[in-house]
Amino acid sequence: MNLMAVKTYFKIWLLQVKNSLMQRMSYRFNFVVLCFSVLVQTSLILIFVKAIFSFIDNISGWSYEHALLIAASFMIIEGLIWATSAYLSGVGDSIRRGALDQLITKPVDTQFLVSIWRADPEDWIRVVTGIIIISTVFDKINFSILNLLFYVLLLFNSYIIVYSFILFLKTFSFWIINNYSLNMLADHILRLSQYPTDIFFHKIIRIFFSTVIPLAFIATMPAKILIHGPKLDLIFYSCLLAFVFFVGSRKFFLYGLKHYSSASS
Amino acid sequence: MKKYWTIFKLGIQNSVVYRMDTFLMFFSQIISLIFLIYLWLSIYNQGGVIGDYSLASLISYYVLTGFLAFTVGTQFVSWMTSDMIMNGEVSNYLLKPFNFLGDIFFTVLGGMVYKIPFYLIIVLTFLYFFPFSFDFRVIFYFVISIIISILISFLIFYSVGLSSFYLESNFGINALFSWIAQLFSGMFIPLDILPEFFLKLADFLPFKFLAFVPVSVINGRISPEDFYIYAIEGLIWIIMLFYLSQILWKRGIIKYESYGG
Repeated sequence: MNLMAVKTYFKIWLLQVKNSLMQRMSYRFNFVVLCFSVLVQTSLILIFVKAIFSFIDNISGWSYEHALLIAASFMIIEGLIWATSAYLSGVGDSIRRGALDQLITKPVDTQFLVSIWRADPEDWIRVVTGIIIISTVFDKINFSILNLLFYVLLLFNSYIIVYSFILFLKTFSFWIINNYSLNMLADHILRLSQYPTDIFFHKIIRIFFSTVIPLAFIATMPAKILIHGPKLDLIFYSCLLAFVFFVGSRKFFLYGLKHYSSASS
Repeated sequence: MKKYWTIFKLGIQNSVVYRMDTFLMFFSQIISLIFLIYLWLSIYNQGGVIGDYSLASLISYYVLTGFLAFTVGTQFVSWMTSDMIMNGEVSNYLLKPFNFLGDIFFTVLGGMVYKIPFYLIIVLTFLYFFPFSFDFRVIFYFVISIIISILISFLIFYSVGLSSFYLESNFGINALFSWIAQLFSGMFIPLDILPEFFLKLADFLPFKFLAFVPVSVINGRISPEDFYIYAIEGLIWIIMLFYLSQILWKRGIIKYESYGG
């Protein structure tokens, strides 16, 4: 892909973001209520962490402030996924409604188009809330610019992993038309990464949640890097997982696309 | 009543058609439950204690709230009702001898019956590891509290869905009520370990009947003597929510314009 193509794809993405914002703003009251509902949802995990830590002082070595860092890291990733691709709702919706017919004939990568099909602008609130929480616990961690840079790198990898994991699950929509449960499954699994994955004291479970479903690399590992500084092995595994998940989910999506039969024609 | 019995059976059949959907939702519940069990195990293994909950009572709390969320949870009713209004399907109910509320309620009830055997696997597994001795009176009160939970939950989310008559888009209201219900029903965290402010607020709202009250009945936090007070409060909420839903329906149907029907 050359620079020109990147520029074109970026323009298409911007246009879709603008369209999504216009759609939301056409129902202003609904948009305001949605923003409030995102705030309520975001506060749930904070209330949970606060309530738990009113009885204990750490969970598997994670203090209150450190646990907040994990929750905030997840908020940022979840917010970005919703704000840029609306949890890839375009994949299931376009298949179910037969709208994929129009997308596959466009001279743009189909995976890219279904990924950016919808964007939920209210979810930027999650990203902002996450950043605010992290900034409030800066004085409780061994903060340095280097740690922050590697933290951002690991968050980028988390985004790729989460995106790929959702894409992988949503690709099953080519075979399961009613995909409500796929959304629920992805949400239930990914939401668990807002807690420290060090709670898994059984080694096999810990390996499972670090490789097969890499919950550990979504929020716990980035938070570890921000607190304790960069660890080369963690950074390497994070990059490797992001690469493997992205390539794997793309191949699976393209395989699913070959099995697509239109719902409308 | 015969027609609603048919709708109820159709509700079961509809769930059987989407059995993969039910299985995946069940699988989601299992994964969440395993994770939560690990969370509580890690806290209790390091000597921590959450409120006055023992490890077994905390795990049983989440097994039972999971059961209620999976089988009798009706948060989706608001989306279902909204879709039917937005798509113009309501027009059918104006022409046919079917009650809109009755049709949705018995369809949903059919889906609940289909899901119960799935979750019983988890409940029986839990009982194997943490055997309980049950008083039949407590089980009777638990069943009553589940019926109250179903009716209150259904009427809340049905009323939320009816807001589609009044708003061009009620996507936000549906989402907002879902999250508020998560917090104040005790599904997310037991209400009695929440900060005082939230506990007092939860006491004024009907959401506690969705999960906290039924689970507290079976784990002995609500005594059989106190249960009567909760049952009366629940009944008052049911009557109030029923009248609210009737007002929303009657006024909404006047404003209703069928677009797709």
